[in-house]
Amino acid sequence: MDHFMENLPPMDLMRSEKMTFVQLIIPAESAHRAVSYLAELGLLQFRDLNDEKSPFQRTFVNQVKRCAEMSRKLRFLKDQISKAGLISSHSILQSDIFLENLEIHLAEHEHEIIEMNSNSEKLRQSYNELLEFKIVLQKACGFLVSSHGLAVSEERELEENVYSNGDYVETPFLFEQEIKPEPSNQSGLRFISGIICKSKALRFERMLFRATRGNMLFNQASADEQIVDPISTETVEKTVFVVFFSGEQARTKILKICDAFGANCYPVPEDISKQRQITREVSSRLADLEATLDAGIRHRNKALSSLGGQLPKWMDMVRREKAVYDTLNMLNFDVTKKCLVGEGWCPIFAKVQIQEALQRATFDSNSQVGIIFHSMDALESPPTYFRTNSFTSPYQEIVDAYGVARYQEANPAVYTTMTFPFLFAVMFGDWGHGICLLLGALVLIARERKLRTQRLGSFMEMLFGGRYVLLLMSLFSIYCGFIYNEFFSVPFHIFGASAYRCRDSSCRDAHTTGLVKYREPYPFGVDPSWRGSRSELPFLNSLKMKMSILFGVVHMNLGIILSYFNARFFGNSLDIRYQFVPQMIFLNSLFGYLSLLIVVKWCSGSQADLYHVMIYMFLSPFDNLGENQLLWGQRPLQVVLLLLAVIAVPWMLFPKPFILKKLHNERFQGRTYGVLNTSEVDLETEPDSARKHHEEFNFSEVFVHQMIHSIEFILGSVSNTASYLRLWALSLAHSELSTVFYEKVLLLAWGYDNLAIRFVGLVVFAFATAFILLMMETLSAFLHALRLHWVEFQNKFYHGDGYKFKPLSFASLIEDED
Amino acid sequence: MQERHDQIVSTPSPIHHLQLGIEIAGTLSLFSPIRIWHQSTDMGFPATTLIFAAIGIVASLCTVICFNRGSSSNLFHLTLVLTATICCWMMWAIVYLAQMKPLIVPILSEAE
Repeated sequence: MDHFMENLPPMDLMRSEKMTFVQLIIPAESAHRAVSYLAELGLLQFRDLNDEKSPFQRTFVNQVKRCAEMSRKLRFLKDQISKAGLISSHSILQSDIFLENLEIHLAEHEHEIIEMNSNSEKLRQSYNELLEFKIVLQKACGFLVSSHGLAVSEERELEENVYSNGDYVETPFLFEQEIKPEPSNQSGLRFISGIICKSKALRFERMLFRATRGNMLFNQASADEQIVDPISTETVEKTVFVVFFSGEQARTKILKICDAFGANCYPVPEDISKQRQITREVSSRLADLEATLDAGIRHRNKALSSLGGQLPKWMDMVRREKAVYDTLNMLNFDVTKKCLVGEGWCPIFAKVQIQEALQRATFDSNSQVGIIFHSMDALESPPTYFRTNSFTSPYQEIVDAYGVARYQEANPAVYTTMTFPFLFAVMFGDWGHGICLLLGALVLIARERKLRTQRLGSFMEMLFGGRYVLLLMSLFSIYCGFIYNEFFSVPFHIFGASAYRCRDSSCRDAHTTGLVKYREPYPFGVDPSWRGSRSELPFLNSLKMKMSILFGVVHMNLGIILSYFNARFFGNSLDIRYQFVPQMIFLNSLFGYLSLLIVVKWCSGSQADLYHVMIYMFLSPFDNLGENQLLWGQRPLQVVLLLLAVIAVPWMLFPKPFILKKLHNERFQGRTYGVLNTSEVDLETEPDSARKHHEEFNFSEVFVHQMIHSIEFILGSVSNTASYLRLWALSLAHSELSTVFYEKVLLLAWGYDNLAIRFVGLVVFAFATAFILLMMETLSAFLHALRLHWVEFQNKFYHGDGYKFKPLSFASLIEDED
Repeated sequence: MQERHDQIVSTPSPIHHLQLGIEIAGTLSLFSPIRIWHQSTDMGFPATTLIFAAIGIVASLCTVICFNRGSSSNLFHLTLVLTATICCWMMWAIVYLAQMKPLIVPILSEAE
């Protein structure tokens, strides 16, 4: 048996890839190229040799700054394109552009776009002002015509139009400063016209009233539509106003108040012909400005769209360069300042590829000196690297989410691939819901190619990444649905007739004493007669609880067996003898025995009370079992098992620390002068302990650690077994919810003859099923199955304190950015 | 009248067995190809277990043939298939065994 086990090839994915620590010595001229080629390969993780230096003390800090600046410019251009609402076209592939040229290019483009933007801004502001002026002209004309009659007719010469906000660009041709000779009467009626936000109009009027002590006339008319305020560029509702006043002081006061309230004043001539003339001028000027603005925007959009197609490529290039320079910053210059020295981890299978890439780099950069690449020994533990495909990678991620595997320890993902969807299905079992999940999974898999290139939201991303998990979950759910015999909680007679029937043909006592079993059990799954009966829950509860215990004991045993294989792999016979064996004995003599009793009780149909048996096994093991006897020789067997369990406790607690101490003393006996730091590994003890504490052996620490580990296992064996009862709990919840929706929604609505009520019932049933059962229950069962794996399964063997292999790779840069 | 009543209510008589036998033989039952002779020898469990084993072996062979990518990869695929088969078989076996000699029977509820 052992021979057979030795000859088996190592299983894929069971243990992480063998890694080796390497050192690279690269001449300076081929450094950039070498790192780029290595990044394309993506199989070498560089170690940061310049850890203590700040980012500004590193060698290539200028290049990194330039790259950062370029990526800022690229982001700005991208923003501009998205603001302009252009769809970036995938342009024709232009020739590869060098980094320095790209820098210049980008600077030019950015400058151009900024200039165009500022010009547009200015034009737009003038446009808005002119628009306001036009509206003021339109409305104010109405007031002036009417006020003309009010004003003293002799004072027609008083056409001094006043305006504020003098920083216009094109005021000259609009406003001829008509300074008519002052009439003899100083206190003639004058007016100021302008436009103000509607919200401020009331306060404005009141302020004016107070300031002029009531000697003013305020007319207002609201603009018909919302217009853009030139200064704040918001679209607001405005009101045109005309203030009639007399006196110079009043004029200054009113102007100041206009300023304070942000009202824009525009001069309106009194003469009707003049008004018309100015209106015409304003309209033509508006049309001109509009045309100019449009032309400007079109010009800018053309420039942007010509860039748009190449932006992704440029961004990629800049990102790569930045990554290469960041990596180059991790390397050290050697004494002669002509070579860069780097260290890192790489998998052993990749050494040939790396060697080849380095040779290509040497050749391409016309360097005289080759790159030196050789393995070294390392003090620290290597990173963990699993080669997964798109089927196994979500499972590996699930396992890694709890903790990355230690270097070369057994990978739980091998078994999780099948047990996780299975335990999910035990909690979800309904083949109708399973078919819905299957459809969803198939849709995701069918559109794999298209969805892979798209950018999805974070939730869809997770769902898409886990499409194969979803597929397996749905297949197992359909299987468990057949076993539980539930199709949206409706049982079917797919596998033959039921095993139960009435005692007599009249079925009189079917409601009191029940049916009778007249043939062998239903061949596949739960008998359909149970559904809807009054004793359904007691039967199913008993079945599912015992099922959960059985699954739990098997799952945990699998975990302990994996710990055996781990100990064997690392050559740790101490762990096998003083941890694996007592753990197996303890768990199986108690809970394995319980599982055996469950199976025997089912097979024999005895009425023994298993709670009673288990509890009294501890309380009074020597008592007669009476009617609880299930096996022959049960009493002595129970005594023996109890003894074994009791012996197993000190067995896993005491020997290991003492033996470790003895071994440590033997190893370091006589070496009182200190230990030379050799890299030889002592095969007796665990590999990492040899490196970490080669001098000190803290006995109390080791003893306490072992005690904690043992107590955790002993107490955990009870709590973990009980934890598996969540399989029962969730499957009960699912089944009950499903029943409620079916009976109380669908059947209730179907009972009525009205088509509308039936339709409403169907819709409510569909929504309830989709949201509560398909989404919430799926997530819930997913979570609990996950917990069972992470805690109950993995704490039997998994350390999970490694670190992940993160090679320098251009392919992973894109994922990191997004 | 009394005899008929006895015949119906009492434990199965030989005539009953014959009736049952014919009924069962006539029923299209997927998982018991072997004819039931007597109620207490139940061939359903071993037979179906063999069927599960056969499906498992067939699935393993298919996987090895279709996805043959080296011996370590094959071992991994075999582990997956084996795990899945054992899980499925356990589920079926538990439910089957629980119904073999039940302590309670379905009691129909009033609504029917």
